[in-house]
Amino acid sequence: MAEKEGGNAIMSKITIHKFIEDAASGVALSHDEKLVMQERIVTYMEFRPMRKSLPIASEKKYSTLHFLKSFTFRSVPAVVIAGLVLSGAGVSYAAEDSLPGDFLYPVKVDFNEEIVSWVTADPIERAVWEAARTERRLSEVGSLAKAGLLDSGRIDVATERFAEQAKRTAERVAMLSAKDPFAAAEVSAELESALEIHEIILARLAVETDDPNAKVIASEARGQAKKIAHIREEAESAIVADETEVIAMAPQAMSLKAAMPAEGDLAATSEADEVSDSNDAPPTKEEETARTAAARMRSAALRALSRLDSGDDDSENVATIRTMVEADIQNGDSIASSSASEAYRSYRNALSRASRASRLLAADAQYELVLPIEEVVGAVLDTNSSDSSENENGTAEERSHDEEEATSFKVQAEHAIASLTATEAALLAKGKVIAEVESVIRQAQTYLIRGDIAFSSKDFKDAARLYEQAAVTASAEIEETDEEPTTDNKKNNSDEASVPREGDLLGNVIKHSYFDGAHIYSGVVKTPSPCHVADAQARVAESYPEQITVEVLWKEVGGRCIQTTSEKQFLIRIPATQQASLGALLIDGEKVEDLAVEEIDLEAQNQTEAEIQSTTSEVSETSSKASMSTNTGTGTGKILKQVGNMLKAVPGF
Amino acid sequence: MGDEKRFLAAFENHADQLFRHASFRISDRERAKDLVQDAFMKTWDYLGKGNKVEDYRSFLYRTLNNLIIDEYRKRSHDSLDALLESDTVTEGAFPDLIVDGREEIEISIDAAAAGKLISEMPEHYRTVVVMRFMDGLSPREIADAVGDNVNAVSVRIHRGIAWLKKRAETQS
Repeated sequence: MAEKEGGNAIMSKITIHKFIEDAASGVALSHDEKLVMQERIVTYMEFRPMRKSLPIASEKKYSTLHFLKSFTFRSVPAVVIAGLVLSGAGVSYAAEDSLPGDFLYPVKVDFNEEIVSWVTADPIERAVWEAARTERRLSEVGSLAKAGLLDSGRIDVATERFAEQAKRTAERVAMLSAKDPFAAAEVSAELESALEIHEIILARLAVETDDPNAKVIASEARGQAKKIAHIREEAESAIVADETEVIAMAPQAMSLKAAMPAEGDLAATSEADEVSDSNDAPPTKEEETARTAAARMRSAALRALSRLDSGDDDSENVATIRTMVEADIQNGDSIASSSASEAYRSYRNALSRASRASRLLAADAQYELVLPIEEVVGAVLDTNSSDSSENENGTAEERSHDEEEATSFKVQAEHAIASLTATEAALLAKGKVIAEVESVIRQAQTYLIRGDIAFSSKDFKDAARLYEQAAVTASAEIEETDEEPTTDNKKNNSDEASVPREGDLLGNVIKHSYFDGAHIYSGVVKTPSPCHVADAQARVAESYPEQITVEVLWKEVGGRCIQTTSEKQFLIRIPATQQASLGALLIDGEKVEDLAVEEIDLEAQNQTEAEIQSTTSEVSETSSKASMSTNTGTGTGKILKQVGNMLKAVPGF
Repeated sequence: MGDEKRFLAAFENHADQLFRHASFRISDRERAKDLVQDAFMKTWDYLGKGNKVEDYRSFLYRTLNNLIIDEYRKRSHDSLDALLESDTVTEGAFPDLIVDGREEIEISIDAAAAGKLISEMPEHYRTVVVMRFMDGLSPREIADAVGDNVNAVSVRIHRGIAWLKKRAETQS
């Protein structure tokens, strides 16, 4: 380069190439900017996948791991990774199904799983794998509990292994937090949700199998969930602000939404569309970090949402939960422009809920718990999004007040459960069994156990909440419906004939009234599903006195239904002389034997037919309170009422 | 699966460059990021329809260029007129000038001023000059990207350099 002096400036000759290079030198994507862009692109890729399923099975272990490294490895369960590695090596596959206390169990944990740990170098993948192993430990206990195998020997093994694994996981996540706090926050949020759900499942299993040992591990799970919550909070303190801050996020939020396809309405909800790029000053480091955190947590939430699979029976539950999770994401989107931290929290809630739901539904299927929807929804809503410090901080006075409150709720709960149990016993003595009472008692007992666990960990606030929930659940009104007693049934069933089955007439009783020149018959039957109603027809034989045959048939009214029996009322009005009598009642083609007819004197009570429909059904109260059509029976009404109670009790709903 | 890997590798390799390019073509940094992101997403859509991409760099540049042109249309940029001018002069190529890029200019301005100068270039010159000297695309690749023939591209590059040279020298 030749230099010559000219005026004040130093002239130099350079090539065009260098000239432009120099000009370009200041312009570049920051590391975070690139990362955020990558996350968005990856999320977009997931929304528009090239193929439905990931072709995992045929890959060799290293290429799979490399693939996983560059793609959405978090959407592939670690169990699959293990399966791959092992099937490639051809070793130890038999050990995969073993449980604590089994002969091959050490091979599974110390060899099979360890291999995967060794080959997993990436800190994020490693943390995810260790978290998955922790869940495995709890799953194993669940299997043992369900099989009734939780003896003291196995419990010791299980507890020890769990503690070991929990420690390992906490270490890994903490290590990850130092390198990549965003990923650490995500991994720990998911693990925390997983542990909380396992606690619930184990508490439930403890009730179902009447085995207090499961309670022990449930307690451990809870303790670990708290530890992970701490780690998560620490990771988060590095990336998002504690207080609500006004952090401009306009262009980021806008382009993120613009880029999303119209899957559901996640794309369309932003009010921030109109926000102009008024933020002239370049974003501060804190703002950038918070934005990145929010963006990453959002895509994590979307991934978790897409993993929420719908099994055959749970489509309604899943739809409800999906709506809740989407609402959280939409909430995050709408506040993203004013506060990245708050948006982050909404997205994290969405992630927690989706994770909880996935695991709850999986456990439902695995352990055949058949959790009623309000319990699933309740568990999903109840994300404990308050910081773990809520339980720990506070003055000694506050804590002792919390302890008192918890104790008093516990007393209430025990009382309510005892009362409910007594009611059940009384009904049993009368020869009646109500399936729903059993279910309610179990739900309440599960809350009670969880309350005990929280109490023993000195989480008095949580304990109070759980005990209260137990009390509320056990206080749900149970109407005394005339369900099928344990007599011989028309259908040759060998299982407990006490449980009403499809086609049964509840209580084997039909109500009758003669009013205004007509016979009115009504009763409650079990239909095949909630989408079926009972349609009554009558045939009057020409004779004197007339012989009436009432036939009840199913009618499908459409809609999506869980395939479980439902109670529906039928009613028919037959103009005839008062002397006409009921010859036979047929339900779905079968004659009802030993039919009892209950007389209702309408004239005396001077009721209209509309009122008949509510009084002739034993479930009147529930039906009318829920203001449903006359064809709705006990089941749905009670559930709605319980949902109402439960939702009222869930904090923040 | 291989497609996904290659696609993500393409992101790793080209995102920075594409961003730099976009920044020089449109002055808004945030918008530049958006366009780059869009370019990748459009490429993904293209793959999703069952197509193959052999040369990601070319494809991405082409896609990005189209998006930038759309951007100009939206903004009714002044240089749109210049853009629409069709440089179909075929005076012959100027291979020695272009290939070596050994054009020298006398300047005394710094990087920021240099950036400003480039942003002042008429769009149709800037596009090709930036692609050639910043992105390192060959005239053939540039022709592909802008949808023009190689000769016309060569002419434009030559004229662009002349413009730059004159401006840089008069400013110093």
